[in-house]
Amino acid sequence: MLIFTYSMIFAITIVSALIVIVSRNTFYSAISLIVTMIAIAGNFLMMRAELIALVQLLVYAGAIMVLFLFVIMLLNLREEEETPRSLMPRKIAGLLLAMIFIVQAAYITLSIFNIDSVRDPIVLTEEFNASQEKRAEETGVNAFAETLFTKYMIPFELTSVLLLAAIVGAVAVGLKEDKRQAAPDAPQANLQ
Amino acid sequence: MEYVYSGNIILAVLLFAIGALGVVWRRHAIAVFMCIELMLNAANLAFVTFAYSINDSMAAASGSKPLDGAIIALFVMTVAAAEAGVGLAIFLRVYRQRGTINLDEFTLLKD
Repeated sequence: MLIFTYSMIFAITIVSALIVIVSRNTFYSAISLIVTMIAIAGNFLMMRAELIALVQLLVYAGAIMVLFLFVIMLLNLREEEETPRSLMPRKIAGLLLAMIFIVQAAYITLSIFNIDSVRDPIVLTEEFNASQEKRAEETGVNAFAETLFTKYMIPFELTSVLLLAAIVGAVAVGLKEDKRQAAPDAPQANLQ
Repeated sequence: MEYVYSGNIILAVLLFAIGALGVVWRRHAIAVFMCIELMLNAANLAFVTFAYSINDSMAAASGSKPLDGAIIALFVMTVAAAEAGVGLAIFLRVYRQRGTINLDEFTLLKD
């Protein structure tokens, strides 16, 4: 039963990711990307990474994708038209790139993971249950917070600085041109 | 449950390849940006999968716990959020100046 659920999530992830890159309409791409993100959250749940799944839903499917949709609506975009000079060589180059990624990653993965270890999923023995409970305790929210606020304290604080810089940068870049000129001591931007 | 780990690694590889394909194929700046988000997501998935797939003996040998990879994934998400905010602001600005965000139109350095 679990393997059926997992296959469904797997298929939804791949199909919606393909729609993201195939669709001509950027809005459909964005909606499909939301579906992909939710399916990836499902993947995290299958590994019992509950907190990561929750953050994935809140941050990615919630915040980031809403930002994307806002910008798409602000830009009033037409459907993407393909410029003639860029048709074939680029597509072939893209396929080559993707193939190289897949081959590389498959090589590395196969040399690390032992395929023989893929066992029958229904091993609900006592031992398995015990290991699952231990794992749940190891990776629960409590353990997560403890690690984040002790071992990873400095990266965590640096992250807040990064977010602050991003906020200031986004506001500075997104400000209207005339407002920027109106500032008394702003240098006269004459970039064109 | 091992099949989830192997399956997720395969899924991460495929998602990353699809994202790379989209970055090259699409000409729309926002679409390219979404493909980059897809690739970040794939990397996240691989991080968490590798982290959660280590068992006790591997953890004892390497000194890392399942949580380490999950926390790295959390940082990746934060960086992705910051990147999305700044990047989309840049697109808005470029659109205001040039009237388009088709990447083929931006040849200022080439011409």
